[in-house]
Amino acid sequence: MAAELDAFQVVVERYRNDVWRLCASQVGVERADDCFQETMLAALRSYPQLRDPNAVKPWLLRIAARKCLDAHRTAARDPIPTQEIELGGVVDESSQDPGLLELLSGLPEKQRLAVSYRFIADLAHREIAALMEISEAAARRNVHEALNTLRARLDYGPGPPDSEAGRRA
Amino acid sequence: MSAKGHDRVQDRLRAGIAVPSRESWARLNAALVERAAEEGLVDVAYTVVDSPLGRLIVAGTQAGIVKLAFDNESRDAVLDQLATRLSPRVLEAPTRLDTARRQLDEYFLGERTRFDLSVDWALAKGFRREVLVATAR
Repeated sequence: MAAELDAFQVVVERYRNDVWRLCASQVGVERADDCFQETMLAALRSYPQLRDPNAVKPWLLRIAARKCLDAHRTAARDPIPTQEIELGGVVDESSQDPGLLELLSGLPEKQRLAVSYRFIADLAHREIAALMEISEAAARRNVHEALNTLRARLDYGPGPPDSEAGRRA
Repeated sequence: MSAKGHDRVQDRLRAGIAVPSRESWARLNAALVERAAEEGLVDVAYTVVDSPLGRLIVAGTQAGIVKLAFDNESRDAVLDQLATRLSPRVLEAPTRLDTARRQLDEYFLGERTRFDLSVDWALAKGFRREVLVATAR
């Protein structure tokens, strides 16, 4: 008998911050609503079949990453948005960090995802590795390289030596 | 070697993206429920209603009203019961329960004495079910 699943509404409320912010980090604030919706719908479709109720958060974030990737592909094919976001004015623009979001958008995809999983979704390197289907060493490397790039562009001064990433692996 | 540079970046990542406001979440939820309903994914819809008897939770399936809970039961306990005994696809969907809400409002205003609603008896078992069926006539 499958372990018990929480009501989906409860799941939405518990993880919506993590999911929405992850989406925003990957596709920007304007596309985050769409990605969030697509993520939650996809999750709802397969929710009754979820085998491990204790792993809802990484499961949701994996779906979110996939939907963000889809959004990037769509945008690459069709750079002009074809649909106004009807939900409109979702977030107070002044509360965002546009500099950060812009820098994130400039990172290579794997680094952007890894560093967002780490510091926005608060996942451990081991969990990031599982979600991205890479080794834990690769996950750490992606996080570390992203931090290096962001630090340099934000001009926050030198970080730890690069060899630290290798030592931690 | 100081890792201050990295710490500042980490702090900025953690704090840099604000989440939608409460109102925005409500709109997002409503939009999600609408799309979910179009796909037939809302197995159990519920809504929270104010009444002279306190906070009521009304829940329904495709077959009809399946649960009416008073405020002695917490929302989470009610949702848990619905998820466990009916389906985990439980969503807050006030629009789906418009008719029930309206009739309850009318009832509490004294404008209605009988309900005209479909009932899903799935949660009513045994003796309680017989009582409910008898009193429903």
